[in-house]
Amino acid sequence: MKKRGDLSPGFIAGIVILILSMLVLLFFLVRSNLQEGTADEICQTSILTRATTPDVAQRYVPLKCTTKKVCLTINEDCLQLQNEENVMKVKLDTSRPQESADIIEKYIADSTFDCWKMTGQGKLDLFAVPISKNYFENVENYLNLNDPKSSCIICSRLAISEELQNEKSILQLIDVNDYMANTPVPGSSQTYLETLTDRQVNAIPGEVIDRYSDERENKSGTDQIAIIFAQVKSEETWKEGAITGALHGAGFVFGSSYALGLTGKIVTTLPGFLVAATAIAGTAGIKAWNADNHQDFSVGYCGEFTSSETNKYGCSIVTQADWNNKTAINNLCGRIEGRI
Amino acid sequence: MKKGILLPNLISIIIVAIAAVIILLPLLLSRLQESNEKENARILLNRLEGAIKNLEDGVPTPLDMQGFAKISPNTQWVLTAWGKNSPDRPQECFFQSCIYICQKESSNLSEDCSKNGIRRRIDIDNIQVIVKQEIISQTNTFVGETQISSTIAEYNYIKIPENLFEIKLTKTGDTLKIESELPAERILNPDIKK
Repeated sequence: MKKRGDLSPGFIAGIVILILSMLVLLFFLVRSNLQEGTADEICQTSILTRATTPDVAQRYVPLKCTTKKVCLTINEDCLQLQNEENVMKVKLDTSRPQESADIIEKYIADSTFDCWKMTGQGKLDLFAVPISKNYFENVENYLNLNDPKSSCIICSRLAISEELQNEKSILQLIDVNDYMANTPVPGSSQTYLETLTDRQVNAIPGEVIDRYSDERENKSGTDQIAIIFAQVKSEETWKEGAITGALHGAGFVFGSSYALGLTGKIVTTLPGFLVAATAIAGTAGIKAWNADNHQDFSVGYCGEFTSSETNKYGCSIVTQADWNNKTAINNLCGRIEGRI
Repeated sequence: MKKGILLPNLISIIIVAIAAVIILLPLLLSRLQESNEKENARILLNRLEGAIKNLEDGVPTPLDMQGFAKISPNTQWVLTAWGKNSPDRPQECFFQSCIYICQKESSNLSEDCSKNGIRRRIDIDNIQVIVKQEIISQTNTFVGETQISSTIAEYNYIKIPENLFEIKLTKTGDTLKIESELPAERILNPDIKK
């Protein structure tokens, strides 16, 4: 006769099976082949899966993000992307320079915006510190959130074809900052700038431009830029970090408190890149994305991350980099995930 | 069933279940780690193979490569290759040249690749992997002066980093060269204070 408090062998076996099932489920969750849907959907699903996975298993969830490649051209292919698959070719019309310049601006703005949106506006905790094969050997490393390496995803690469590099009439008209400040995001009444900053900022702070003009004025031009998402973690809260500047490790270039909004969001413009292949066009290594004007746009977030665990702090940024300068990209990104 | 009999049984079953979890979890994670890294190695090798197929004879072609994040800091993946006449090539190459991405664990690369590597057989007779790195060393002389010397080290494999790296591919007749340059490394004599 069954007494109160007795547990049947079936019940105990059930518990054991439940535990084992959970392990198997975890295995399949982590290994699930998220291949359904568009590239963006696959990427976003993998990002969300990674962000909601407990720290100990986070590294085992692969980020299935593939770099988008865009060739901005008049007619010919971009030589810079000749070995790449799935290159989107955007043809521009030389007889309509303003329209063509607007298209280029739109691609840069959209690439930055999409990258930011895809990565959870910088608020998701995406990159765990690697742990040792022997889980007890490298506990220190595992617990050390102040990993000096920042981790990145290369969201897009935008290349300018050789023939477009000679089209000064188009390139001189490009003004990404103006586009971001005055153009509404498709399907919204807010501009890119307002959307990226929760309507905190509707004009780019002049102080920020001044602050970075000295640092970036010597940057040379390029014929290809990469839109990069980078994230670094800190043991400090974002407020402390912003004050002490301690979050400026690992190649982060944006300012501390200058454009830091109440929610911890940062918007900076870094002078550089776009505009005018004028003076240097025709020389060896033609450069189209130039260092003449205040065109380079970066958006960042510093603060607490949304994570399966609490008290995770750090900074995220979506910025542009010269694709031809791998050393600079590697300085910014100690670790890159996804695939180019 | 009596309560006194069940309790010890229940405790031992729970202990067994917990032990099973402790044993299985690292195995599970280790398996995941291995398959993730191998998948990344496969993607990298596919990219390289695609570029090799499109090479024009005699035209050096740069290729951007993206390494992959290592889950364990202890593993070192390398890119290497053997020509079809190379005597020490892994037996898995059979009678062809082959390119490998494998985990380097010892000084015997062929054995390491044979044991734990991803392979592509290539229809080119000779393949050379040439990696150069400047080694700058500082030593103290007898008279207390600091001497700086520079040498070029050459390797037959490319250490796969966790970020970007560039290689140069050149196919000339029956020979394929895969070249890369590593950033200079400084070796300081421990006696020299920075």
